[in-house]
Amino acid sequence: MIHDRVGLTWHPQLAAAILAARDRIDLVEVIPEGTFLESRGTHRALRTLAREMPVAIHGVSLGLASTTAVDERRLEQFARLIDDVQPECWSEHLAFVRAGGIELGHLAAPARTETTIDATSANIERAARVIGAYPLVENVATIIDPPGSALDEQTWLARLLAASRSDLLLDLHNLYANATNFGFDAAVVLRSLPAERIRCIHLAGGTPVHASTGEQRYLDDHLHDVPDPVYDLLEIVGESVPHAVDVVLERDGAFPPFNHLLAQLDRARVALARGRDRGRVAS
Amino acid sequence: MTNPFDLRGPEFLVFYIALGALVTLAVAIMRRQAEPLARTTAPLTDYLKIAYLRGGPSEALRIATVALLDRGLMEMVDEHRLKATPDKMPAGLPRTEQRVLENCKTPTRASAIVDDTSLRITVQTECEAHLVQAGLLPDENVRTVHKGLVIGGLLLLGIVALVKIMVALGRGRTNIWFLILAATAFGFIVFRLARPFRTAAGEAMLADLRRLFSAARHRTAPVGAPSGTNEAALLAAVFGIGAFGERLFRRPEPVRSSRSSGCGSGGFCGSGSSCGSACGGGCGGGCGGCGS
Repeated sequence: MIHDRVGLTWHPQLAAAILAARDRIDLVEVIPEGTFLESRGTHRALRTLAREMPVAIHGVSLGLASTTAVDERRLEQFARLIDDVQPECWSEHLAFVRAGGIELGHLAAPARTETTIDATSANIERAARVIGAYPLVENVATIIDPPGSALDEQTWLARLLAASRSDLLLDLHNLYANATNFGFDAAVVLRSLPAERIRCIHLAGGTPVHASTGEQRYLDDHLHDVPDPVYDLLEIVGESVPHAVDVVLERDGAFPPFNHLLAQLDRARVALARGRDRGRVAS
Repeated sequence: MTNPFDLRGPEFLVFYIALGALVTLAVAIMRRQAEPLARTTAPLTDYLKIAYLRGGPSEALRIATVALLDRGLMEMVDEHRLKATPDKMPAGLPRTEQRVLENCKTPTRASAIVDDTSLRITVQTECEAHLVQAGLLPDENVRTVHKGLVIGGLLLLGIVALVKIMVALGRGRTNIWFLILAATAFGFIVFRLARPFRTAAGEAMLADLRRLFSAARHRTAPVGAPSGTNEAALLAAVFGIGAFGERLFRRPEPVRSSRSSGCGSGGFCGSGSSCGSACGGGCGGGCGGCGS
């Protein structure tokens, strides 16, 4: 029996609701921004939380997928946080967030080249050395095909995983968004990824937007419900990944009644279980 | 070396204030050293124990009743009385909730629940041993040390003040009132410092909970009710019912509660909140809007 776990992103507004529904939430993922990074009091409070339930720290500001080295000061701050909170694991995006001293305020997809694979794996090594553990690395969504790319997303991702000791935090909604925006089959890409390297799954929602050119794009905004096709992808994960995974629902605003979020967690459990059943039958 | 009791009034007062500060510091340090570190997992999801930790049996009973109202297991009969909802005694309730419901089979004044001795014993039995074992409330050994610190600190401060007063009066001086005032003030501080309801670990736990739940205070919508969970009770346990005002709980008169550790003796706050966890939008995760 594989014991997958299902949880959601921690938001202080939802704190009491999460703890009150502790029996239906296996883990939470904390995004360390602002006071989370700076305040030792908050670190201590999160340590208290981590004693109550599994906590993962999910970084958004290191910018691992950059050709410039990750900022040492940020890494040290992050290391202090990890040391204080003692989460089960930590993760970061395969994105760049600053360039030439300018903060983008956005998780930008890097150009998919051999150069960025080398630079990213060097940054991962550096981060692991300072923090003391390898991060799970997450695929990002993008509404533009990164300029200068020589590889497609799945090839870049597969080569990066081969070059690095980090495992994959697979954001199924990001995969779905990119598939919608660039016309590939998300299920095919998912099946091509090394299943044994997938450790954690993100689910989220998004919305269609119009580009200035008039084209429609699909934006991963974390403000909407998880779309049906993402649950279908989760079934494939259940079918193909041989070990337990953590599934985290990312909802960062426009919060519906909490029961509605819990229902999405339940639906994720069902989808994953259905995939597990299918995997058992197939094997 | 000068005998301090020979010092003139203002000089002795400075000496006494320095002594008082030193005694206070020593009591604080010795109290800390006597208390254990938190030993077990904190009761983060148990509103009853959190309420007990914050305000003792009265507050725990008050929040338990609010939780039962919020979950629809009790209802307000009128502005003063409440009763258990008929045919609603689910299995697996904590002992305190069961007992409160049993006590309220007929319409009961809210204040009678908090004042009921047997209910106070029930909630104490359910909460205190766990909190003591977790190192959040002082055990017997720690209480003995606390008592010793109070007695020692008060004796030292009192004897020094008394001797000086007698010396002064013997020399025909009557300007002793500032010294009496200083002795009373330091005595009060030492007493409060050395006889805490919670241990330092208990204080830290409450501080952690307030920090974790801090954003809940910014909600504009009421919480609780439809999910049937203890969300609202948890918030009330951490901050007190009064901290949320009408936003969190509708409060039938003459329901009253305080901000922190307790209402007046008759205090209760009803609840009829109409919405679950709805709260305003806005990206709190710093995800930059997309791509994460």
